[in-house]
Order: sequence, then C-alpha cells, then structure tokens
Amino acid sequence: MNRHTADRPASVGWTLDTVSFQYPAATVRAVDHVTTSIRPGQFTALVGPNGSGKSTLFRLLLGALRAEEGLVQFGGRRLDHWSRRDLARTIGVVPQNEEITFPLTVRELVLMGRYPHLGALQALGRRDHIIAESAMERCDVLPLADRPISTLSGGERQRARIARAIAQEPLAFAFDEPTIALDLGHEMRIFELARHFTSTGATVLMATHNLNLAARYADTLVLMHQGRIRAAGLPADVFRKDILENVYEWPLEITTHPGPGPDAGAVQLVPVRGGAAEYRDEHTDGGSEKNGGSEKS
Amino acid sequence: MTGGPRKSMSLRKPAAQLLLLAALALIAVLVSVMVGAVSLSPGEVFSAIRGDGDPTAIVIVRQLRLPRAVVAALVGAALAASGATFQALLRNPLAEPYILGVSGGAAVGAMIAMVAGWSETVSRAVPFAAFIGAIGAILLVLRIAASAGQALDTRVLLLGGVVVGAFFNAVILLVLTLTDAESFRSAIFWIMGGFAGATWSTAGVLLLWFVPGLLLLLALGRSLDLMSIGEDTALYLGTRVEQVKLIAYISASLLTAAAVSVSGVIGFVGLVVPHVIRRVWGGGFRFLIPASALLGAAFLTGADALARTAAAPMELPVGVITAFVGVPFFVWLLRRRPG
Repeated sequence: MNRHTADRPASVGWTLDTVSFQYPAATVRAVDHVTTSIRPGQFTALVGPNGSGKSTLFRLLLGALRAEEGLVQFGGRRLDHWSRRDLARTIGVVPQNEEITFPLTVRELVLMGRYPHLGALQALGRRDHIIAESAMERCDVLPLADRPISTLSGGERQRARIARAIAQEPLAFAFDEPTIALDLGHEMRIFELARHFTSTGATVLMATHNLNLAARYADTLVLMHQGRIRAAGLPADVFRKDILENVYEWPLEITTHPGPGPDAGAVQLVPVRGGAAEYRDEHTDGGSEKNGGSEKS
Repeated sequence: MTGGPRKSMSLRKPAAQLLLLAALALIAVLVSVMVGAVSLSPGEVFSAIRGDGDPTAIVIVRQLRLPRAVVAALVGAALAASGATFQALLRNPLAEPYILGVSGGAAVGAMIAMVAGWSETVSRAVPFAAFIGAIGAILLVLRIAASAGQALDTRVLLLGGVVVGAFFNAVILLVLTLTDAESFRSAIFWIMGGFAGATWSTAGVLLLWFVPGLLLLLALGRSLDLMSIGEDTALYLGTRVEQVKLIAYISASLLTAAAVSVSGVIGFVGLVVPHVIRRVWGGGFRFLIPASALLGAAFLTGADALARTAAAPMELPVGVITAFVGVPFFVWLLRRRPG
C-alpha cells in the first residue's frame, strides 16, 4: 500500500497510558488500565466481544467520556486540551446511533460536516458545497443528494454518514461498528472506503465485529476483553486460536485466505459449528486453554 | 414548493420565505385590528394609529385592538419558536412548549394570586404570579434532571417535566375544588387562555423576554440541527452539548413562561407551526426558528380575530379556534406529503 503519498500533512494518532473508566452504576471497570497506541496513517481495527469495552474505549478516544485514570493523548496533546471544535476539524466520526427525527436530505446531512469550519454567524459558502459534493461522490451517494435520509437503505445511509465525516476534512476517521446490519456488498464498500482513507495519509480507527474483514483490511488489530487489551498487533499475531477461543467462548479454527486477490494468505478464522455445549463443558470443567475443535481432531 | 432547491442552495430563497411570512404576520395584525364590533377599513386603522379621525376609532385601535393583536402575535411567535426548540432538544416530534411542566407551574402561580385575592388589589398580579410559578417549574425540572446524573439527560428532563406537570395539575384541581364560585370562574377563564385585557404594558413585558430568548435560540440554530440527530453526533461535530442544552432549555422555557403568564395556556401553536414549516419548506433551525415565530404570530393573531368575531358578541376561547383550524389543516398536510 502506498501510504503517505497524498498531499495531506502528516496524520495524527492516539496514545493511551493506563487509561481506566468505570460507569457510575457499574461494579467493574468498563475500561481497565489500557495502554496502547493507534498509529498515524494506519487502519486500526478495534475488535472484541459484546461488552468487552470497545465502545467505551472508542468514546474515551473521542473525548465523549473522560478517563478517570491515565492519560489519553491525540496528535501529541492531551485530549482534554483540545477544544471540541478543533477535534471536530481533525477527527471525522461516524457514531453507532443516530436518530433522524425530522426530515433531512443527504445533502443537508453531509453539509453538517462543514459546521466545525464555520464561524458562529457564518453561512455555508460555495466551497462548503463543493467539498460536500465531492465527499458524496467518493461515497457513491451523490445521485441521492436531494433524497430524504428516511428513504435510503441501511448501506446508503451509512455511506451518507461517512460522506459527512469526509466533508469535515479530518486527519483521522473513527467509525463505531459501521457495517452492523449491512449486507455483504455494502459491508465491503465500507471497508474499501476505510482502506482508501489510509492511502491518502489519514488514520482510521474502526470498531467492528467482522474479524475476518478486519484481518484483511486493517494494519493493526486491538482485541479487547473484559475492559483490557487481550492482544494487539498485526492480524497474524492477534489471530491465535487459544486467545480467540477464550475471548469469544467458542471453538474456532485459524486458516488463511485462499485468494485470489490482494490478501491471499491473510489469516482468517472459521468458527466451529455446534461448539456451544463442548466449549462450555471444557470451559467450566477445567478452564483449560486447550478446548474446542474435537469434532475435527 | 416541494421539489425546488433546498435553502442551502441559495441565500435568497429562505430570505424570501421569511419576508413572505413576515408579510403574513403583518396582514394578520392589520385584519385583527380591522374586525370587531365596529369594523374599520385599513385606511381608518392607519389614520387612527397616526391619531387622526374619529376619536372612538382612535381609542379602539390604539388602546384595545392593536395592543391585543401585538400581544397575540408575540405569544404566537414565542410558543412556535420554543416548540421548535423543544422538538430538537428532546428529539421528539410531539414535544410542545408546555411539555416540561411550565404551563402547570404558571397556572398554579396564577391561581394562587386569584384565590388569595391579590388580583383585585395589585394590578398585573396574576401574570406576575404565573411567571414566578413557571420559573419555579423550570428550576424544579432542572433540579430533578441534574440530580439524576452529572449531565443533563434529555430523557430524564422529559420525564421530570411530565411528572412535575402532572403534579401541578393535581394542585390546580385541588385548589379549584376548594375555592369559591367566583375564583373558580376566573381561574377557568385563565386556564382556557386568551388575550382579553391585553395592554401595551403586557406587550412591553413580553418583549422584554421575547427578544433575548429568540436571539439566543437563533444563535443556537446550527447546534440544534446537530442535537436533533443525536448528542454524540453533535459533540463530534464540535458542539458543546451540555452548554447548548442548558441555554436552549432555559431560553425556550422563559419564552413559554412569558407567553403563559400573559395569555394562559393556548394549545396547538407550539406543536403544529414548526411541523408546518418543516413540511412545506424543510431547512435547518436557523431558518426554522424565525420562520416558525413569524407563522406562529400570524396564526395566533388570526385565530384571536376569529375568536372575537365568530360568535360575536360572545368571545370564544382562542384555543378552540387554534384547534378547530389547525387540526384539519395539519391532517390535510400529513396526508398530502407522507413521510
């Protein structure tokens, strides 16, 4: 991949130093002493089972939650020293939940990405419209520009929201499970777009449940489990049978992508069918690291 | 009207729409001053305003009908603008200005003033007490919402408002049950809402709250656009969410409190007017708030003129007119443009 080739300035990343967070009513920490970095210009996928702390970590990285302990830095500065406005000019976020209560067109939604660049009384200008149109073009939603959001399919809606993030002209993108409830084609388009962003020098952080696509598209995987980072690094280093079986509590096999295509040989995983009872038995019996896959052996 | 380029495409178009709505509001005020037991021509109205012509007409226009029309317009504008704000803030299309219990607080205040007999000794005691009651309700709801967590949670705000409103309604029923027949009658008239007895000083007091409240909401327009999608989205697009929520809540509540204190509870304007603007023209809150204010002014002034004249010499409650005219129109609009 030819990264750092485009006309963008050097991109920005995050570093976390023993960051912890606990929700007020909770008994355990949602994020527990996490130390890691999200490197500039790379595609980092944040993975882990439901309730593993992914979303909390995601919100800590974006300043929607404030770390109780530890230090979150973004672009070499403490996150809480950034103004909301500067952050919005630097990170394009697509959060998981948005409720469009009132009629809104795709164009109006994408133009909201320009708001952080406008003064309090400044109106949207010609340049803002041009930027919004090129963002819509990149996400294949320009033909839908004047359609109400409520008439779009799930995949189109998600691409419209990504176009809004592009319109922010950020140095980093953060997507929280952007392909949930999307079909295969729409999911692939979003991973392709995310990969493309890094080719222009941008940093991409994506929380996702699609481990196999994460292993093919991302440079780095960060695997969360019970509020901690269980493994982080190259996909091939994180895709270890013992770790993944333990984290997901399901037997699985590690294999490689057969090709054709650019990522032939990439690590992939295949969950084993009918593994629930087996896994639970072995898990509760001995809690051993060796489990699952007995059908195969 | 429907398929044209959105307001974002041209600066002239929303300006033209606002001018049209302003003209509509002025026409409503003019018509409202013309009609009544003595009907006047536009010429007679204008000379009366200048102080020329028939002395009776001068008194009718300057001291009765014009202040009343201006108060109705300001109340309509305040209710419609705060309705639009609450809909964005609570992300709920059913939100209206009274949703957070402001009307209940105002009614309790007004009723205390009536039952205690202050209204006979102190002029304007009722609106003043109503305003104090409304402020009390606002503070109570804020207190409840703030005690539920460190941030202002809109769901808690909504529930707190509904609960506070329900409590005040119970207080009103209790007071009504215990009071004498005459206080009962005047309390019921106040609750029904209307503009009888509106004066220039009423208009002046309203304006005092109306101007800063509306300006604040206008300044928050873009943040309200983002807030109506979601608080996380608003945050990630550079909005200081907690501040915006607090300022918008207080501004909209003060507008409502001022309106309720002078005219009682008038339903429907704050709910429907913003939806009409959205359905016909769409657009963000920087357009929606002034457009709603202007249409609300026109609508309520017209409704008051109709309330005075439809069953003359009897005066109908203006809330009856706003509902009788507004509901069929709104149903028609819903059916014409689904979605």
